[in-house]
Amino acid sequence: MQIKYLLIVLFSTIMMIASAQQKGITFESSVQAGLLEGQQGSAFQFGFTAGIKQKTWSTAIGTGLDYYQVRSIPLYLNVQKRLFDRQQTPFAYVSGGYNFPWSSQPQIDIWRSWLPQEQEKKGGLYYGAGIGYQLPALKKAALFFAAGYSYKEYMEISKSKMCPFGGPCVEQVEKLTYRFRRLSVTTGLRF
Amino acid sequence: MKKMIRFMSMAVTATVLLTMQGCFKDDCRKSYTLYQPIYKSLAQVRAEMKSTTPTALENTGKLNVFGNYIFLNEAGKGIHIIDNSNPTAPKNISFINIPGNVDLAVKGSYLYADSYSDIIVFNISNPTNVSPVKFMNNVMKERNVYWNQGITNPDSINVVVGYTTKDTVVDCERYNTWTRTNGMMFASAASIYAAAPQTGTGGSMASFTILNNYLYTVGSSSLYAINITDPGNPAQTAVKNVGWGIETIYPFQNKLFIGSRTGMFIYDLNNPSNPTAQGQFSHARSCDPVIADGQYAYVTLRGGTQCNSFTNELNVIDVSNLSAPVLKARHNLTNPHGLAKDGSTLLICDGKDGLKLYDASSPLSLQLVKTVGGFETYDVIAMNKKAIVVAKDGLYQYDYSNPANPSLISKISVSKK
Repeated sequence: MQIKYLLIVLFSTIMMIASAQQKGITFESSVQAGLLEGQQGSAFQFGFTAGIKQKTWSTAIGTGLDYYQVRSIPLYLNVQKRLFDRQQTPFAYVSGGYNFPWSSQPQIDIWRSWLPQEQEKKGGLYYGAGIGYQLPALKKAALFFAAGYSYKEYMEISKSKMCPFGGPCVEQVEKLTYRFRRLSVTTGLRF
Repeated sequence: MKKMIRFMSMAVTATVLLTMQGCFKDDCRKSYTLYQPIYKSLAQVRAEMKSTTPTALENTGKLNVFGNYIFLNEAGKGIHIIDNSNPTAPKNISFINIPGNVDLAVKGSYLYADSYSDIIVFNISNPTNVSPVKFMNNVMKERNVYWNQGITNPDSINVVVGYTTKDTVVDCERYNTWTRTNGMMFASAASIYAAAPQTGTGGSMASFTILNNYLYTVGSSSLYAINITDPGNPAQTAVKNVGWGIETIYPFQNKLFIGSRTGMFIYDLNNPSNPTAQGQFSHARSCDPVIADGQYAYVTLRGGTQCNSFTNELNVIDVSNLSAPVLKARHNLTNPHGLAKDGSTLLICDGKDGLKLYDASSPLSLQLVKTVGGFETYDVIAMNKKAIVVAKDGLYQYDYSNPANPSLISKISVSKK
């Protein structure tokens, strides 16, 4: 599943670079930081994107760190539409990709009811959408602010031998799927 | 201006729609299998405790090798009997139904096996026609699941023999556990390639062992001594409280080495009917099978969630003074389980790393000679340059005449469901 997402992102990157050779397309990158606000409280997020821009449309590959409840590494494709083809403009964005767990060791122990023997961590869907505003800053950079919705999934799979009711022992496979829905507020610089 | 208003209203609408979808509420879904027990009366269960047609290996556990036969525990279900007359082509010849079975030991024509808290004696003189000769009720009280006070009639006792299952998905916060976890352990015993001995030799992860005319077993906190002078009619002679977290038992000379989660205990058998504590060595909390060989005891400490520890190592302990064992050396390992020593070769099952063979000519400076990888190992019997290895995916047999290049003799695979 994760390989599939990686291949999609890789393919998209190659396509973007290839098409960037065409007239009117420019490279664009950004760095950003912000907060994620949800039921589990606030958490930081950092990231950067790199991609291409043509007139009021831009598309980029993005990654970073998402500290909401479980530290993870989102890898996503971001598509942005600006209202005007200039430095000062409102914009809207959508992004989608895969959320990779930071490590293979379990970090969440809420809701756990027994000690597992084997554990596996998996990522899941990552997407978001929102609006923002950018304005000129420095020489060739734009300062932007954005707010929107952000969703990430995270899975823990535990396998444990157990002997229910004192009977024959069996392997219990328990899958926890966490779905986090947050308000995302970011600011950053676009180059 | 109109363009800006249209753009902003569309963007805001899209964002609000996405936002409203879950109102920023996190959730967690738990999927698992729900087990509903199938019961039989104890009398009915006992009537079915006999050898049947062979079944595929699924969840193999402890091991006892006696002569040309391998008795291999199928965790919680019974014992496979494997004819190993030809180690290159071992044959699974029958299966003994024993609900709740975890461990076993063999002496002469008798097999001793646990069934929850009971110990059953089987006559194995004909391995394809094994039958019980004695039921010892509620011996290992820590494992009691059905002997309620005052109940002695097997017809009035219900035993869980299986389950109906149902895949279930619930909200994590509503999930409420109803199961009890029973850690599976694996053990081994006896010889195979040499002439059949009268009694098997316990392996490093066994909780049953036979020494002379006594069967010794450990529960989670007790040591039990059972007189088997009359092998078909054993009698319990002592119960000793050893502590908590007791896991394994290993006989050496006239002593019992008991592995627990907090240390190693040594019991003296000058009076075999009533073992007495002689010494102990404490270590960090972890799972720890133990073997002994003359001056030294070898203890593998295993960490992990079930063992509540991060320690994964081999301890070499000087036991020349049995009353005061002393730690002499440590060797890092990955996830050690059972171990065995044959001459100067020490074999360690190191979980997913596989089987590790060490030159133990100098026990305090072990040299890793070879790692046989590609399988997840639990326990090993090593005798006469042959090793029988219980692994997650099957039962392996290796020839390690040349420890640097062990060769696979055979494998019986575990059935994959």
